[in-house]
Amino acid sequence: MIDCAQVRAMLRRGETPGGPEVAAHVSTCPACSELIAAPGIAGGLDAIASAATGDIDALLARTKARLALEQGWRARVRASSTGLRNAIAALVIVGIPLLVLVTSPRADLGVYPAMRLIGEGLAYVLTALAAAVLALWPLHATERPTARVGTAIAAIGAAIVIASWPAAHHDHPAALAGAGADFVPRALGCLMYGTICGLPVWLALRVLTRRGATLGGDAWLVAFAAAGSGAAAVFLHCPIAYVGHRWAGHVAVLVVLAAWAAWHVYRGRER
Amino acid sequence: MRRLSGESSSCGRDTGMVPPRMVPAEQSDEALMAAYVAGDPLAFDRLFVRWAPRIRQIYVRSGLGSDQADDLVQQCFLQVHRARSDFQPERRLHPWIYTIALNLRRQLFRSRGRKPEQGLDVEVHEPRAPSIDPDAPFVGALVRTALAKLPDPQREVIVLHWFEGMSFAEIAAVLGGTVTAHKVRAHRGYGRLRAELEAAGVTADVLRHYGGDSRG
Repeated sequence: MIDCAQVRAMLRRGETPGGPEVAAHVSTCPACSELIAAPGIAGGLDAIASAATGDIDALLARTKARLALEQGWRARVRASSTGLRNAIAALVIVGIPLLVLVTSPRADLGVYPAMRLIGEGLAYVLTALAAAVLALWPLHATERPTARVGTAIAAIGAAIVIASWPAAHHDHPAALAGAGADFVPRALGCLMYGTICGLPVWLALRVLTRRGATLGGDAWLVAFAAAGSGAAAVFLHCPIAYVGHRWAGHVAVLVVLAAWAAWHVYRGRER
Repeated sequence: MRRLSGESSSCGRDTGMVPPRMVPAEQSDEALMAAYVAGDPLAFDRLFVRWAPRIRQIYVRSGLGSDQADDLVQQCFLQVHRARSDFQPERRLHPWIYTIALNLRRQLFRSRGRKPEQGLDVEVHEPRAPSIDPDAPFVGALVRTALAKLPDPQREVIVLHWFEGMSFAEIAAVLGGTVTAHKVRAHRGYGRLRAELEAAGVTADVLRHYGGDSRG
């Protein structure tokens, strides 16, 4: 059976494709059907078929000058395989909450329902991992158009649901703090703690991404990854059950890092 | 100066870079990329000479100006360099490099939050065959403008289908999505292009005059 290439060749020769084979192809190819119905389009497109390519030697020289700047450990890291870059990112994203869990776990760890603890921790970490994978997504692979929006919704949704969820227990004195006069200092403390825990993820992803100096729209993904890891860390550290504290101290980590991302994107557009 | 001429023996000559080495002239893209990954810089020069003109044409045809197209070509090869460890020699290079090129273009528009430039860049126009018709650049500019007015997904499919001669299966591999979806996009794109040109007063007879080997 005839194919698109043969139809294009006939149109370029000024012929009008016809016959049973063309009819069979056109029945499955609406694009060729349109081209055959309006053969003048072929001529119009061929009028710009050979746009000039500029001075290719000069372009090569400029490109090689840019490549010559690709030196040092940062260049080596971002040129490593996507599998390795994802593994490093995952190590940082998972490692920080685990480090917090080992070194300064929440005081009520013994009475907190285990399955809920694992579920909430995983929700933060998995959304952070998803955001990191998309931030490090290689340009030579096609990305699902809904992946970014889906990850953003999942990251924001996880933070909101976990913060708004009824308290798991009131069986530990540490869970009752942060609701009165110490609301502001404790909320600020958690906000700083979570943001600082998220910073290594931000820095790691900046080094690992192949975009280089400007993150562009990927800054949002980097922020969600950093916020997910930071929020997981503060969740594993802070036992306070008061919903207002969890919003102001825990969800605000996401807000601060998202604001940082917005500033990056704005600055990138200004350039 | 060299213009869209495919490979020549001048690789690295004008650039003061690497002197010519033992890379067979007819080496496949995949073999050249494998050689580059293995550390042969001349292979990069050859890939560049082979692919940069095509990538640049895609950018120009899809509505970018010459300077922006040049800049994106450089970025494209910078990304090829950074992603070289991801390249699998058993897979074909051309969908790989096209995908990088088109994703970069999309990133550019996304980061700047604006639409492609109007394609009135007459500087880049070179008629496909020798022509003495003074209207040729004008018609080319109209076609380029009409192409620039198309929605991005339709324009991408037309550029790959008509100019790059790709099948819809190859287009789906480069852009993602299904073969059927791209066929429908191309159908709508060609139809809209025709409507845009007719609205600009360019008739089918005029267009036919500029296409095909049969023109005068």
